[in-house]
Amino acid sequence: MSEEKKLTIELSKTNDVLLCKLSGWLDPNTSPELLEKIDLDGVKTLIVDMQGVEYVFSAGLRAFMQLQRALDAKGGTLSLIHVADTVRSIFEYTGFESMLEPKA
Amino acid sequence: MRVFLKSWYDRQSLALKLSVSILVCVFTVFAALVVFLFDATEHIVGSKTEEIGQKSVETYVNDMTHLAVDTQQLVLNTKNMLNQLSESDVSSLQLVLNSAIKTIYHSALTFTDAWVYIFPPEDVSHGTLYRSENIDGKISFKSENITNLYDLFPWFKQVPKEEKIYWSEPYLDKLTSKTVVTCLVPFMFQGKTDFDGLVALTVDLTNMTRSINNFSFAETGKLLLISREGLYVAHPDPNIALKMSIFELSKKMELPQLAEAGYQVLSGKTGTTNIPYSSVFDTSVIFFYAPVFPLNWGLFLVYSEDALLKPIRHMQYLMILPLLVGMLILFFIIYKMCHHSTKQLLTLSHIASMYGQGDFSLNFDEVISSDEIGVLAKTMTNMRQNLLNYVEKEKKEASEKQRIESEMNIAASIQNAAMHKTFPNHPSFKVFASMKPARQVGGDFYDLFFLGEDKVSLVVADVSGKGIPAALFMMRGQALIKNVAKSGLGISEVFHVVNKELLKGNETCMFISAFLAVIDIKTGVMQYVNAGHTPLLVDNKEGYQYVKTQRNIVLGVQKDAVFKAESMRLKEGAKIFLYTDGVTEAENNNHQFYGQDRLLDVLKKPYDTPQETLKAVTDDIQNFADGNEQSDDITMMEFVYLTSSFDEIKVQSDMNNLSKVLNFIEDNMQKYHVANETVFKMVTAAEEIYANIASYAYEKKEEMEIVVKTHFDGTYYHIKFIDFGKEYNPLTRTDPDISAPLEERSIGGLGIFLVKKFASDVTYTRQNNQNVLKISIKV
Repeated sequence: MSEEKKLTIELSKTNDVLLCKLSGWLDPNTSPELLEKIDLDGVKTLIVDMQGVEYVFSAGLRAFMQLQRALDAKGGTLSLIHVADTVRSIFEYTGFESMLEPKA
Repeated sequence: MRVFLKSWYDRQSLALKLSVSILVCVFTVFAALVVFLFDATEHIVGSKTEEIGQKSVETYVNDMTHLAVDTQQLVLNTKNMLNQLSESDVSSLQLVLNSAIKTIYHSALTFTDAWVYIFPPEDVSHGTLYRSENIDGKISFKSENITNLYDLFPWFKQVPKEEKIYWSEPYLDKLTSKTVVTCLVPFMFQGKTDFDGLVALTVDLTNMTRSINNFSFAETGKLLLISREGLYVAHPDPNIALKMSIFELSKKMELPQLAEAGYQVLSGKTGTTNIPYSSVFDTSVIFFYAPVFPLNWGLFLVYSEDALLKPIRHMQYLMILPLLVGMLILFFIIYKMCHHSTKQLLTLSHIASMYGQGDFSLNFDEVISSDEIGVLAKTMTNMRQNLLNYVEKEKKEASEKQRIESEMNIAASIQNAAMHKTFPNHPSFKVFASMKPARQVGGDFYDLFFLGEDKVSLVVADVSGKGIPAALFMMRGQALIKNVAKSGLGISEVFHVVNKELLKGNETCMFISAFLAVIDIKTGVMQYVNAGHTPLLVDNKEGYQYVKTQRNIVLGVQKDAVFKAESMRLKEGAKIFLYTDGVTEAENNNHQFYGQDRLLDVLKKPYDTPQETLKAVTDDIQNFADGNEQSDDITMMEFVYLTSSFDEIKVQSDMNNLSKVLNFIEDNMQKYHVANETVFKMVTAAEEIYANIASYAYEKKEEMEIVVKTHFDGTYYHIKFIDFGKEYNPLTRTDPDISAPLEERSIGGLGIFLVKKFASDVTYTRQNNQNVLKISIKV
């Protein structure tokens, strides 16, 4: 590969709300990093800002699912915001659109 | 030369280099020391010897000075005595002369004669000579008249006529044949005003010249004595003594330095003249000279410095030999020591090179010295242990890696085997599929299986992730889908059940996106359900296009998920293309996706077979990727629906329709290329079967139906006779006795017998008030 597509993760926590800003690709190489970086300890609400995300592979979907499960277990919520249309279609194809906020 | 030396030096062993270097250093120091010592010794010895020589010369000069002064004193005394005489008185003269001659002060002071010469005032050449002679200790006195004095003493001509002491040149006394010199002074008798005569003493120089000639100094050192005129008074060479002057000899020998030395000493100077090598002396010589003042003579000491230093030089040569021997011994000792050390180095080097080749059998135990080489040996022993450990570790890791590798290969082949490599050659459809994993094992799969005779199921699915975990999950998913589908559930229920099963214990949140289609090849109706998978591509005789399908969630995620199924009817010749996202998400070097549009474009071109279609897509993806590594499994399947291979004819069970049915069977069998012989047999059998049904099955013949269904599955041609009459199994009928005479044989039964003979399988079933006779023939 000429150049690896990177995933950058910015985290900011306010009380029990964790805002996670992502940009880049969520592929099999970068997705495990996402799970490692996000610490759900004391988090009720995880908001993932997908504005900079260009593409999500199934590994990325799996990562979101694992986050969703972990939050469900303690009554938390996961919201994905600013999802680009291309990415939205991936969620739709695979039946994950329940994770997304309603389309504006 | 320097280059040669350097290249030679570089080629030698360390031991030799060290030995040579040390030897050169030691030799240089010793040589410098020897040269310095010898030089100093020579200098000291040389100057000491010179000093001794000069001291000797001084002694001789002193002796001669004494001689001269004493002689002069004696002559003057004699003159004074004669001055007091009034006139010549022979007896007085004899007395005076005898006493003078008798006087011996010194061993060297020997007077051969003493005389008085009295001459008339006007003429000196003739007079009376009174003479006392000392011949071997006997003294005699005599007088004679001299007519010409110059005949007797030629040197007299040079005597000045004044009252002053005069020394003659040395000369050979005719009487005694001795080398003598005469000292004289004029006198006048009392009362006279002019000289009356001369008084003289002749000194014998024999003793002195002998002493001088006998003098030896430092082997070749000699003394020479020259007179006022430069005449050699004493010279080792008798041909020169009294015969040659120093000046004549200087000229003869072409040694101007000699003459110069003569002038110097005769002018009263003391000094040294060095004469470099000359053939005359066959060496370099040194002249030391000193004047003898009263006589105005000169004494020379001649010696050769080389000869002087000869014993020292000899000693020096003697010293060089032991020095060289010592050096040689030193060289051998140093060489042996160095060689011993470097031998150990060579051993180390040899062992190290064996280590380099992987042979660790040798150790460094034999090197036990505690010097730097010992330290090196110890280090290398440690290195050996570390290397051995490392090699052991590497071996273990390599075998572990190999094991994993072989297990991966086995896993890949197991996975490979789970997917069809050969596809049924079915008259109703053509199908081909491929799965190309990104790694050894993949998470994609496809499947193809029949549900009964007339329904075929297609599955294409993709497990999230790659590698071993995905492969394991994939095997589970594939088996589940197939098994559940075969249980006879509708396709929505199939996914519902599979989803539930996959959710059990799915801690790792793996999921499967899957597309399941079930095609009724009799009718062309396709039912399908899409669980989060890629869209469906269909070419229903209008060219390939994407078909929007009902969206469902992937399998293995949501409890109680509902999977909505859809259906469509495939026209004869319709194609469907199923794929995983590995196709559309194939990347090139610019991180661009292959995408749905490119896929559609390549599919729109015409291909003869599904194999060709898949190959075209694969090639197109590869072109697009342009060498970029495949990042995801790529799976594709194309299904082409050809035609329904199910045919049937339904007629009233009337013998009038027999030919219609038989024609149908004949045509239908020929359609599927059944052999003519078989067709004939089948038609014969069918005639009997039909006749049986038409004759016996129904009470009211005109109302009842006979259905003939055929189906070719690619291998077997199946034909079913179905009627709705009373139960009758034609297969239970006893076979006709074909050996009985013709007139005894019953007409019926031969057809069934024939069928049993040529058919692969014949079955009769009674179900739903129907008699079903099924005959299968291998084509």
